[in-house]
Amino acid sequence: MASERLVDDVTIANASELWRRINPHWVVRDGNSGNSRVSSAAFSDSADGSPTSVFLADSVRETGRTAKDVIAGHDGYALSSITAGQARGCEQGVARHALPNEPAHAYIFGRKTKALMRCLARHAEWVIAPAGP
Amino acid sequence: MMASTAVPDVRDCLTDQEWQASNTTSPLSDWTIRIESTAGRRKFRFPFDGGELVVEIERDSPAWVEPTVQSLGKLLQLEPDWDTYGGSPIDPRCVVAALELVFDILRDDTPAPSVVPTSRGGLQLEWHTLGVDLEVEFLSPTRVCGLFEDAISGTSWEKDLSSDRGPLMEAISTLSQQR
Repeated sequence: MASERLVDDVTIANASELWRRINPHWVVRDGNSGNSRVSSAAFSDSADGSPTSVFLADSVRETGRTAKDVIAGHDGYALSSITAGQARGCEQGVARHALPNEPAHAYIFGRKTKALMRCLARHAEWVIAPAGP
Repeated sequence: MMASTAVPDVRDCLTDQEWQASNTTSPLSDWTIRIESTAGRRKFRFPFDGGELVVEIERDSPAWVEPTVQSLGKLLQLEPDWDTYGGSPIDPRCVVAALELVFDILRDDTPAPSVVPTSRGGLQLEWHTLGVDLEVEFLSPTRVCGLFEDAISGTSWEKDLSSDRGPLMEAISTLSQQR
């Protein structure tokens, strides 16, 4: 995957929501806001070098599913959302990458410095908030 | 703090470009973390595939010590694909390096960091308090980078901290002091 050439897909509107499953280890306390937040670590590329995986929210809905379905079976997980425009504002591209078992799969791709991952995390909002402290 | 490890044949730490999801370990679900108490000291044992991390601390340690040790040690229990994106198990030597760093540079009044695993088998320490955002990432035991933002002074940087901890010590001082 790492060598696959990806191109920013302009058919994905800036307003399109990109959902990312959030492992409970990636939820950090933010004393500055008083809320929990997503760690920048949640927006790194995958261990195999493939880009950051997300779900296109519109595609999830088109298949009759909801946000809850995206984290079903993953105890303790939360679901975050950023828009494609926000990802692009963090110097990233967005590309569809349907998988055999997941037609809504997409990538946020591009060079990810710590500052750029933090940029992505800063935009992230909870679709399904993490459970408790 | 004393930390010791027995780590036979675990993988070498590589650069982030070189990290692969290979060399994954066997399931760790049967393992437990043991805490032993003796007069004046507490000993934590964190088993992992191929070894065990032992950390001994004094009972009257600063408030950040025990939660930080516990959080770091528990990362060693993460199994392959722990993040559902093919995440690698956390390299024990990154945990040891993080322990050495926090015991070297944190002050008694430093808040406990959030301890966050990274998909490539490293880890990250984070503070978000007093208007400061500080992230310290261990890409490997010897490759450390940091991000600092101080909303009050307007200072921000992203630096390789592998060989120069000066900026990090300054940042720790900023988030430790009363404002």
